[in-house]
This record gives sequence, C-alpha cells and structure tokens, in this order.
Amino acid sequence: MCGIFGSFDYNVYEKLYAENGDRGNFASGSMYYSKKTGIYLRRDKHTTILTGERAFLERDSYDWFAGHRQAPTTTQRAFKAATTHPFDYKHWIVAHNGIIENYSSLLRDYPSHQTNPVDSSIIPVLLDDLYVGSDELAISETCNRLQGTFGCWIFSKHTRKTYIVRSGSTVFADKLTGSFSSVKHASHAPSALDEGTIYLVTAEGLVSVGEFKSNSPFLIL
Amino acid sequence: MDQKKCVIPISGGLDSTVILRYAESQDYEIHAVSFNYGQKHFNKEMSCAREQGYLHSYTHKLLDLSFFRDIVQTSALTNDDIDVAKTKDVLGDPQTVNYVPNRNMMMLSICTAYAESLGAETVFHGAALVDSQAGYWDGSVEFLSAINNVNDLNRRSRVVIEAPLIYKSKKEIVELGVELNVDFERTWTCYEGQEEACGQCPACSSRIKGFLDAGYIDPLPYSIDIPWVELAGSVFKPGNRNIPLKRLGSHARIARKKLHDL
Repeated sequence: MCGIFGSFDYNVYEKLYAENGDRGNFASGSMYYSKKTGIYLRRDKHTTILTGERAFLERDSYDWFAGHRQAPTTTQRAFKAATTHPFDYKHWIVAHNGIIENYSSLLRDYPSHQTNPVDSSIIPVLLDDLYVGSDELAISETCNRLQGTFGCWIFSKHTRKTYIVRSGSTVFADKLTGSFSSVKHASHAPSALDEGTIYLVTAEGLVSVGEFKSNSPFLIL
Repeated sequence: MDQKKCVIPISGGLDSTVILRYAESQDYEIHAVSFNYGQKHFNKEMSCAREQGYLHSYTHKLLDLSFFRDIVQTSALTNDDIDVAKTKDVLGDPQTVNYVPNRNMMMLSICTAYAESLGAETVFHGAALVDSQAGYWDGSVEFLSAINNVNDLNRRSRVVIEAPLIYKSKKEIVELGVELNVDFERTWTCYEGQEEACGQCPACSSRIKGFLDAGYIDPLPYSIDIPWVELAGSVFKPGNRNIPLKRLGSHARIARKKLHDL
C-alpha cells in the first residue's frame, strides 16, 4: 500500500507527508509546481526527502506540493527512480495508490510501453493515448479502463492543472483548501472524496469536473 | 487410476465453498479442514461449513486453534475489545485491524502437513483477488508463490498449494458458484458473526458488490437494508440497465430439499 497527499501550504504538506509514513517508508516522490518556476520532480530512496526542502522551496517559490510515499512490493524491493512515483510520461505526471488488476492486459494493448514492474506506470500512458483535447475526458476514459483500486493525483502538462480521483482506495480532503491525503487527517483532510468523481484542484478548493464508472471491488453503504 | 486427493481449508464462506464445488467438479477426493482460531464469527462459519458437509460427502475435520485468541490481541476478529472495522473507515489501510497475523501461513502449513500424510498432492487455498486489494499480504499471488517455494524444499513429498480464485474478482467467483450450483444461502462471510450479516465490514462490502456485479441478489439476510434494485442501476453499464437482478432461490430450495432428505 502507498499514500498520496498534497497541499498549497508547505506546512500542511509536511504534516501529510508524515501522516502517510505508515503507508510507505521505502521511497517517496514529490512534485512541486508554480506558474513562475514550473515543475520540479524528485524521487528518493527513503524518508529524508524533506531535509533541506524548506530552503530550496523558499528560494524557488513553489506554491503547489503533491507527493507519494511508497511501500516495497515483492516485485520491487530495490529503489529505482524508474519504479518510483510520480510517473512522468509525456504530458502527464501521476502518483497512484492501489492495485491495477488488469495491468497485464493493458500492457498487451500498449506494447510500446516499456514493461515496468509497477502497475501504476501504465496510467500516464493511457492518459496520453486517450487525450483528444480535454483533460477531463482523458481522465474519465482512463479511469473507466482501470480495474482494481486506485487513488491518484494527476498533473496535466497540457493545462498545468492537478486532478484527484479515487475508486476503491481512500482519499480524504479538505475541499475548501485543496489539501488531500490517503490517510484521514482531522484538520487538513477530514472528508472522504466521492468515488467516481474527477476533482480539479484550484486555489478556491476542489471542484468536481467530471465522472467515471468506479470499478471498485467494494460497495460502501 | 486412484482418485486424486486434496485438502481444502473451509470456513463456510463463499470463496471456500466455491472451491469445494470446484474440487468436486474436478473429481477430487476431498478432505476438508476447518479451524477455530478464536474468531468471533466461528459459530456462523461452522454452521454453514457443516451444512455444506451434509449436502456433499467428504471428510471434514475441525481443528481447535483457539489458543490464538491468547496470543493475537491485535485483530478485531479475535479480540472482543476491538470492533470489527467498517469498510469506509479502513479501505486503503496497509493492514486493517481485521487482519489476523499470519493466519493463512499457519493454516496452510497445517493443511500441507495433513495433505502429506494423506498422500494428497494438492491443497486448495481460497484466496481471491479482493484479498490483496483489501491489504491482506497472505492472500496475494506473491505469498502463494513464496509458500510453494518453501514446500518445494520437501525432497520426498510434493504438495502444491493451488488458489484457483486468486485472479478472480468477487463477481467472477459468484458466477462460478452459480455455474457449480453453490448454495449461497448456506455460506457466511460477515466478520461480525451475528444472526444477520452487517453489510458494512470489508467482507460484506466485497460480497455485496460481487453479487451486484454478477447480476444476483444475495440470499443472505442483512441487518441493514440493501437497496438491490436501486444499486443495480448504479453498477450496470448503461447498455445493460434493463437486465433485472436474478434471485438465487431455486438453488437454495434444491439444497434445502437435499438436506431434509438425509
């Protein structure tokens, strides 16, 4: 299991990073973004990724922070950047928590995709293939094709926007501030996001901009 | 040629009952084992396991591992002071409070020993795809591969643990069960072990979803109202909206008749 999290506030991002430690302490990855500075990605082997970050961030003025913490799997026990979230492919950057059941069959549909032991790597490939001018449609079509469980943050380089989706995996958020996390946080991520809804992250909070058919194996009443 | 033998750990649950019928369909001589590891829902599970036994002939041993309650304090299934977690509260957790430490390893080890003494080459394990998705490492493909690697060290007897449902969704397991004429009314899934299933624990959540996706109404009684018809509209793809949910009553009636005939 892994954890995804994000916030406009770096102090909150640090807290959510710590909260998601139980979900994965093997590797972590972050994306920092601002219109002025652009995108910065880093992936690290263990937990000290935030050491020295504050000075770096203040210098370069990022204003959106999204991250991922990863637990080792049987198939991937040695750190490699290529198998660490977020996955950056063409116009998409994605971090995912969950299990993509149909990864093998999706790989057959995309033979040019270099086989990666991490199933999450297929998500930006699908997004790129299914993009026809609309982020929301590409995300909806991609999510419709995924079977299993997923909670993702998705950054589109087309529009420089971040989206959040979930089906089967948990994602909690503060819809007013845009902070989100796989782990519930009483102050910064108190409410579960709806399954099957595409949320756009804006400075005014999370906005529902689309839907997809959730194929979660669980029914929550 | 002698009939192939197998050992099957059965809980009275949906998955292990489907495995039982599957093994019958493959003409195995079945030796079933049930475990009392101190689980809250033991009585309900065993009631179902025994009823399945009346309907079909196989040997059935009940092994007492109730000492587990004394040493495993962290699981809601074996500790009365811990509430069984609802799906909405724990979904996505790396290991929910419902997890029983190393349970499958222990049970499969015992079943393997039993199989070796019987001269059986197969132990059937009821792990399904949703087990991995729910966070149970000992229900994963990797676990199955690892435990078989250990068993391969045995120079004399080769017992293989097979898990025919491990890649199957709950929907596919229900469909297979229908095909194999499983009496779903006499299977128990809920962790709570009350008279009616709770409908809210991860076990119930995946069972309900499986029936819905397969197009059936679960014959088990639930303590909460399950709006089957309304939910069916939300899970079916638009093109299939006119297909009604089917009831499994005919299977239950046939099974009940057999029970009364004994």
